[in-house]
Amino acid sequence: MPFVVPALAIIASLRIVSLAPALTEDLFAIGAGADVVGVDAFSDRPPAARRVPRVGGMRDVNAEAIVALHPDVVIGIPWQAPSLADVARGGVRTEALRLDGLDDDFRAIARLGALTGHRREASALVTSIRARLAATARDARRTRTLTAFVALGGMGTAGAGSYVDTLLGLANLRNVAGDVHRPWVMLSPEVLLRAQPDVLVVPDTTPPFAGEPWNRLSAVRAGRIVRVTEDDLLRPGPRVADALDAIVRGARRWR
Amino acid sequence: MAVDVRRGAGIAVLVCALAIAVVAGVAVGAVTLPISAVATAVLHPHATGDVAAIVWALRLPRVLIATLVGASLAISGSLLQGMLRNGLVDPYLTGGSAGAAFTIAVAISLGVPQPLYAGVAFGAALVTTLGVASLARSGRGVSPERLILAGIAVSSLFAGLTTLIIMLSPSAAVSLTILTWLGGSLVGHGWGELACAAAYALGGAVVAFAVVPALNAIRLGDARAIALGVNMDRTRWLTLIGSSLLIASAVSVSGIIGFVGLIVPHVVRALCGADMRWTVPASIPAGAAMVVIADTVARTAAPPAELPIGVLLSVLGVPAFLFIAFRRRRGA
Amino acid sequence: MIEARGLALGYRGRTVLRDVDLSLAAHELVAIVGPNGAGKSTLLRALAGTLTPQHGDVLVDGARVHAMRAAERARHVALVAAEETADGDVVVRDAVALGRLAHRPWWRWNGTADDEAIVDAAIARVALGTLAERRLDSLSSGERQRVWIATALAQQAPTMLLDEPTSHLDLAGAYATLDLLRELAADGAAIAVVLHDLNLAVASVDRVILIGDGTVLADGAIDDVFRAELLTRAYGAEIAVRRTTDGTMVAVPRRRRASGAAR
Repeated sequence: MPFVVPALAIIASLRIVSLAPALTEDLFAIGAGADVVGVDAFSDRPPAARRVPRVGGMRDVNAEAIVALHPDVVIGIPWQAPSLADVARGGVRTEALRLDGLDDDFRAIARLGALTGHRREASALVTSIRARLAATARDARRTRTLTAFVALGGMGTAGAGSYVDTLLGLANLRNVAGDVHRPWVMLSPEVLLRAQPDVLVVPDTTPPFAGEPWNRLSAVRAGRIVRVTEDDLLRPGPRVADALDAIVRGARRWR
Repeated sequence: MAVDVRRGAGIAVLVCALAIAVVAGVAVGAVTLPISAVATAVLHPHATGDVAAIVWALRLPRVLIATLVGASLAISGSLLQGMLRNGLVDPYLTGGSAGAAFTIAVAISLGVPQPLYAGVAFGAALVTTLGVASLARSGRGVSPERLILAGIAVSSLFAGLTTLIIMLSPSAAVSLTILTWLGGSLVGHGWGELACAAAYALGGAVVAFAVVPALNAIRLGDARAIALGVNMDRTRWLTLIGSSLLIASAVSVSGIIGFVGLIVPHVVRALCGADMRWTVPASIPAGAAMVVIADTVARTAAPPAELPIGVLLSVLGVPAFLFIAFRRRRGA
Repeated sequence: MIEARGLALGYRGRTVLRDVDLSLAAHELVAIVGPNGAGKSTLLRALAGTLTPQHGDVLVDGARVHAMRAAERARHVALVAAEETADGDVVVRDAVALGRLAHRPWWRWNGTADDEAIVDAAIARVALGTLAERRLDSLSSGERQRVWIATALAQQAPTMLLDEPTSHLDLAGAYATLDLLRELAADGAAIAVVLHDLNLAVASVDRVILIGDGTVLADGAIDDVFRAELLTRAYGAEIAVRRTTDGTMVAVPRRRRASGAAR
């Protein structure tokens, strides 16, 4: 019965609710955008995602609204465990996908491919991202290594092993907080002052730097600040390679 | 008199503790600097170079701000515990800090430049405290019980609103900034903010010192104090204004730091007795030493990272608070 | 010196006392007596200026006391209220020194040398010299009562009003207190003291004001006030007045038989 299987595949297309913007982007990137029936309020990329019904924020998820959509599966990140548990109690299947590091990102894309039956597109996406990353990293390695500080809010920064830290590594930038093996670090301003990083990498929503220790940093005085679209820098999604490109391009001027 | 000698010794001990804490605070930090280099830098304010920058741009203002924050919170705590005749009162009970925190969260979201935070915090703390005092007005003057209830209600309201701001913020960087600031931190403030906060704290201290005689009379009972010629309305309003100036000064540079205003008055009373002419001045070195020490620990316990001081003080403060509460229960 | 004219006193719409006229001059010691809830404390507070009358005026040393600010009021009239919790660790000398609060700017921490001398004199007057450095919670109730009288003395107010200063004292303590008050009146103060014990009043003062039934029932010498019908009306119970062998008058409740009939 060769006709039945594809017919069933069309009729039984998956209904997915995504509670994390990065996962929403992944779904659309692998061609499963049509399966997405509900998203969190922050999922605004790609533009098509904005037309999908909202089911709450990232923490304050509206479990009833989700259940009313009759989804087949609800995906989120481990941090959203309480909300996922709520939804699960409503009888809906849930799955938490880790997005702490770059490898998690690839694993998530692959898993989403398996869930939605878009395995081929998923693995193609991962392959293409890996290729782009490798190429960009190769080019970056030929240039001078610079030290960098990622300013994520005051003295808050990303430590070793985190997604942002991995990007820095690929961009041939040494993270001044690279000794701390935690994803989130409040760095001492003295250490930052001592380190005098060559460049600062910041989300584009960051206000201008003022006060101490910023005005003692040569990078701030000379304007060596790489601004990256906040969503690209902080969301481990399908646009990883774009984020890396932005970082490398931004830093190139000062190599 | 023997009593006065003992009290004098108590204050001397506190001042020594503060001096040691300040020296230690400037000498140590996340970056290990040789003591001689630090000493040289202190003596040569206009030198250039790493060490001078760390000492003069980062450590000195920070230690001085810690001193100011600790003293302000401690005086404020002594005032309120004296006026309400209740040793379990924390300055944050009057709602001023919650209002200040909320307004600063809004300011961060709107991208208001950081040097303006102090003024914003002060305005908010004053308005909130006076608002709470108005809510607590009963037939004549401000009733202490209603003050505590109104303060708790208003604090909860603003805490909820602040959480809302964090959750609704479209920018993760902004949310993170607000969260770190709420955890209590003395990072990122220089001489300008110190001067600004010091001005508010000085105003609050002047008011606090003026109210000391009336608060001493209140130790005999409210009705007796009135019979002795104390103007209760004026006393209560001045206490609230003074403590809110002090709280605003502290919150504007340090975020939410609790327990100092609660615990220091008890320590000071144990050392110097409950006469406000001794407890209010003694609160200055006691509170300052507490925050300087806590901040030094926060800066050096896990280099190169920093612990949030508000959290650190809570962890240290909760057992101390329980000890005080249960000791009072046993003695009662 | 106090003068009250046409006073009506009460709380929130309820009037406790009406048509009260009385005056108190220097060298006088007056006892205010009456049943519980009659309004004795209320009257005292109105005279002291801490309760606003619903009607009428109270003049202290010729000026309306309710128009005075707190400190000025405290310089004219000293109110020794019923026992209220004071911090136990307050030292006697510091407590008495607070009596001088009204005589200096409100923000000044300490008194002058003159203030210290006045405080010492007040402490000596009530014979607390040896206890001057003790904490309040280490004193007996009689000694504590003397502390509050010393504090009132330190205020150097011409008028002193005391609300039930003897209620926690034994007989000896009560008489000692009233003896002291008589001496102070003889020295020139105008003193009114609320007493709950009729017979204590009789034994100690020359003038009694009887409060009852919502007004002042009598104000004058003991013989005029201690009349069975007045006392009965005031206390709402049968009271008889007897004279003892040495001429002292004593008020005695009339006994009832089990059947309820008065004897």
